Amino acid sequence: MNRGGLLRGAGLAGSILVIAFFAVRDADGSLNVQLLTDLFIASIARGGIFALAGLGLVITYKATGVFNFAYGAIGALVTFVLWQLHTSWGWSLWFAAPLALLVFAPGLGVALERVVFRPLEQRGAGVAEQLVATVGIYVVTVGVAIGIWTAETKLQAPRLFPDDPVAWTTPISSRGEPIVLRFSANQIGIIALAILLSAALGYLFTRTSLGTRIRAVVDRRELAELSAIDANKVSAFAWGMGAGLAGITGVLLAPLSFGVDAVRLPLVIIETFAVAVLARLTSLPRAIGGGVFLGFISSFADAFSFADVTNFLGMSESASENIARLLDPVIPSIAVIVLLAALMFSRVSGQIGRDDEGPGIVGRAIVAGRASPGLSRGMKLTVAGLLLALPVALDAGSFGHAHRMVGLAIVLLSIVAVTGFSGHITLGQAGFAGLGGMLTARIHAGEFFGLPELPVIPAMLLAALLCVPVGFAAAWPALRRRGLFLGLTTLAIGLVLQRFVFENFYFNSATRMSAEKPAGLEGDVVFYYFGLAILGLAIFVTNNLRQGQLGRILAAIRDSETATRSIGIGLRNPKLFIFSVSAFMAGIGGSLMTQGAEAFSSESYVAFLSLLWFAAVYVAGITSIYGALLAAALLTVFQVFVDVRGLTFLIIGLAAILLGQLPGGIVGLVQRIAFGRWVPAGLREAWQEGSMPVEDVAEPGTDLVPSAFASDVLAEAADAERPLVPARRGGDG
Amino acid sequence: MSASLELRGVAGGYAKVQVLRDLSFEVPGGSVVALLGPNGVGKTSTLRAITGQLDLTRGQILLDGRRIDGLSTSRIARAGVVHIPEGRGIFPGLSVADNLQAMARAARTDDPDRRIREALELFPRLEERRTQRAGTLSGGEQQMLAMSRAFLADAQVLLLDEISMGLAPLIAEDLFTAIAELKALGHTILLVEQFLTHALRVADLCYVMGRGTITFRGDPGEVAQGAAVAGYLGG
Amino acid sequence: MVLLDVREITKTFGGLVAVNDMSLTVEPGSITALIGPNGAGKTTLFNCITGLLRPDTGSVTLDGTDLSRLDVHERARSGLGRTFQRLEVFTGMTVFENCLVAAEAAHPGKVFRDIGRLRHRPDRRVVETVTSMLGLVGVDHLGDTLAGELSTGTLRQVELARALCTDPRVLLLDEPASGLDHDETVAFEEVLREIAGSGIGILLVEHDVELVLRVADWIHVMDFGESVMDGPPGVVRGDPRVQAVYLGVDEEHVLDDVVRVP
Repeated sequence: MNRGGLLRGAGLAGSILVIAFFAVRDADGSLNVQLLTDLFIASIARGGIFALAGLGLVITYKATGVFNFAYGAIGALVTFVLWQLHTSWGWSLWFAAPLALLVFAPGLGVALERVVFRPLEQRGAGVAEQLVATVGIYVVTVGVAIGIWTAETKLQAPRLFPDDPVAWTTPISSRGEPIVLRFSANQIGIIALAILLSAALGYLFTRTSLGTRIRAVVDRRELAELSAIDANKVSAFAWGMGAGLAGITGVLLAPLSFGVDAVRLPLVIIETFAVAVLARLTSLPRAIGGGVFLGFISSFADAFSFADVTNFLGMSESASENIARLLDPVIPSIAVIVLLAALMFSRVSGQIGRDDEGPGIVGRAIVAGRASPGLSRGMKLTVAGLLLALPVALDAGSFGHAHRMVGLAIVLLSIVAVTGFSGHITLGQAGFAGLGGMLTARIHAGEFFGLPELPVIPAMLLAALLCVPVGFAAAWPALRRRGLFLGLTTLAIGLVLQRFVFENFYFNSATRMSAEKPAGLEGDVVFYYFGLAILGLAIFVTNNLRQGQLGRILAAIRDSETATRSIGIGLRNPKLFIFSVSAFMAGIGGSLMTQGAEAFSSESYVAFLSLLWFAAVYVAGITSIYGALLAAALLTVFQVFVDVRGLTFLIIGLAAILLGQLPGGIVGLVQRIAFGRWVPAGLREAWQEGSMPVEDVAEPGTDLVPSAFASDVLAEAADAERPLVPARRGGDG
Repeated sequence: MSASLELRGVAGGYAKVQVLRDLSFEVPGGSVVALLGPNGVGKTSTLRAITGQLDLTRGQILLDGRRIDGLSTSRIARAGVVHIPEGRGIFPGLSVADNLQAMARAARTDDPDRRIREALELFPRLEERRTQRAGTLSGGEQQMLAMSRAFLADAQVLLLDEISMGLAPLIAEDLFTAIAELKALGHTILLVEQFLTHALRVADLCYVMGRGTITFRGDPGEVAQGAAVAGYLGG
Repeated sequence: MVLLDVREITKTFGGLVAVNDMSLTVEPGSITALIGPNGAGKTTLFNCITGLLRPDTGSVTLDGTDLSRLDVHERARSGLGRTFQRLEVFTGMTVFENCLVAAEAAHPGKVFRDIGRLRHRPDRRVVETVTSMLGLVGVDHLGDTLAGELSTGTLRQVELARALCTDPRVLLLDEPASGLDHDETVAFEEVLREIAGSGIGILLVEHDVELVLRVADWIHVMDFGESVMDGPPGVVRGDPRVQAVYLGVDEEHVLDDVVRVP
């Protein structure tokens, strides 16, 4: 291990020690050995779960080549199934558990491989497209879970192992009482399972011929097929195994989460992404080490309060109380902090890093979209006309939705700006939107750090400005990474905002804070046009991000960061700029949404919504302003007319998986059909399934490439061994 | 080890762009045939069609008289068609030893380990690097590893796609010597090349492709004479 | 007069010495070539010169300016242009736009104010520069074609045009002729000569040794990260060391090493 590794290890151990130091001290300052012992045992058990969770994710990645964002959602679904079989229907655990974990979960994995990932593979999808597919699966799975088990139910989590306590009195004494080693059969079972599975998986991967074949398929699938390996069967096995591990992880983690519900449980499991990231996604031993680390730090953190630190430092009671109220809520989310820190400071090897160069998911969308001319003036006028005339069609009760839709459209535009135009994946816009809304309400009410009450519009502007530094927090990792890892980082930021800011009583004295519209603009229709005016401005600004020199720089960064630097353009300023603009816009949009709802409620800006919004924009067309507008309309319409909440997620998620594979989404599709335009030869992937209406492909010599060399160009493009646009993982020699 | 290969009236391509049009030629058992032509003419697509990676709209592909068009790639590989693709047909993330393990899968012998040992004897430089990650080998070593699949897999037909591309002339020499070796062992080989000079050394028969079909056929000497006039060939 | 002065560059990765004490110079208007077998360290040396990698030791000076502390884009602004062995074109933009963004990089101006502008017309002089570079390289007829639709050979030309649009003093070309067929290679040689003729210094990595022997003024031969020798084409061709390493005169001995005939 080199110096860097030693430093990291020391840092990790040190952080545990610091927290432990404060956690196990009693009020009088003496060491509580019993507590230390209890916590130590809990740490090991928790460490076992986290290690297993991280291991499952790493192995899934190594075996399938896909970073399964939906790992947590699958785990949650399997947990619900087990709950249904065992807790609700009363089946014996001996029967229900194998059914859920060894039949249902792997079956789900195999089905996913067949229905989602094999077609993606055949189309030559890049890592980023697979990411979007897994986001789609996440959304669908949550939708299914909510649909069947409803969002409000807090279920008692099923336990795999009995909770029988076991106590062993040691001969050692402290404070006159013997130290008792207290643990439950549950904890022993977990530790044993973790050790067994780790050993088995490690052996499978490195020593068996099946393991070699799995790694070969992930490395270069086509070559594996050329070597007579049936890649489809291997992939199916790998996905089955991955889903099975996700299921076990979910069941083991459920008792530890805040409440077992369909929206929260998957995110608890996402915190175990921290372990995978610490493991650099590919190292099994590091996954175990990372899991143990997380187990220790979260267990000791449970007994920790910031008041311990302030008391130790001799600060006053009231100061202690304040600090504790402010900072303590972060403690249960310590795994998210670890995840964020791991993402910010990690060095990630190999595959995942590769998707950060090159056009990724938007590349093909661009190539398709540019083949046809921009929607004509007529279309623009039609859309504008519809938006302007909307109030006529609404009754008094529906204006709230319309107001929200306008604000949402602005937030979605911010996604188009960052992801569509400059190629950085952002999964945290709900956080910025919520921040904008919450800050507007607080500043307007004069409850923000001593500022006087401000009218709504200046409050809105100030709130959006305050979002910018937070946007910087996302921009900084974007300087180095922009695909999956940036997505995870932005999601983690969104999670931190949700748990630490929106749901923190220090910031929000009630779960619902009332918000007002600007003075004089309270009327339904007036406010609608006010919002529309701001939307118009946002569209103007977003459009300018695509034009001119600035637009070209952003597009260059999207397509090749290396080349961009090599022609003399620094990356830092454009990236900071685009994230600032996007955070500002999302803040404005969120502020409008809050004003429209006349209240700020943390539920409306949970981290999960970022995923839903991202998927919706992707489906509608992530490279197009119209895509943002269409997505906002779709989401609002679903919310209004499709009353079952789970169904919205189901539809959007499914659409993301299936429709999203069309370059340019719905908007791109419309452009192509409406204008019957030529599709470039290099886009064979889009047409292979034959479900699309087939258009006339230009024969060599058409006017699109006006030259005598057209036929050469076309033939060469088709014959190219390495098509330029899809970023194939696994690389070429 | 020396099956014959035949293409009859093959047509196919990507999306709606026809790359191959009415392609017909034969590779007699035990011979070395070179498929030549400039960039973009469809040579790689031809090989991909043979291994089932490109869909045909018309025509047939026959291995020893039996049709293989329409079968899955791994089945065609198991039937003995070994394709060493352009750009080093190796698994860069696996060690050399694991590469050989994975490649030996297609071998139709009972003793893959013995074959692996034999292949390593032929390329002793690989033996030294058994545990090294294949992606860190030099270009020439990677190509040797790719070529060892030809020895491992007990090929009926070998398809080699521009194996000397991007390699120093010295290494290219070595590779063509290995091909001569394979030829001496009686393998049927279809060789795709851009540069005439390489193919001349080993080929019994040459086809020149143009715009998705065969435009010229002859032995190397005839082709070399026609080259200056046709202007097709480089090198 | 030396334009690019590369001195004693050493770069190791873990235990592997990729480049060992390499030095070379490039004069204005000349073509210097870097040849050597695969894995000899040529691209690594390029990356050290352009700043994508930080060498362990050594210095890079461009017309008297020390580049060692500068980031990649700053070196590019100082006059170092580059093409890539694995293409790095902007696939979502047209050929024209690929070059336009490079030409505009020389005049950053108040770019971020674009966000509020009503009209976005590129500067006329910049457009003229781009047009003439595209014409020089020979891809002006493809100006409005999306780069993502073109073949490798054509895109190498586009990358060259794009590098030229940054107004470089020195051009580093990494295997620019790879994948070009015979006609394209001949055309490319002409372009190279024209570029050198305008006063730009060219540093060329190539595998096509015949091409290099025809076009270079000075050749450096690398193997295993080190310089084997350097000199004008005639001398290099005849040098026994080079022949042994690269041009393959000593065939029998090398063969024994590589393929043992059973």
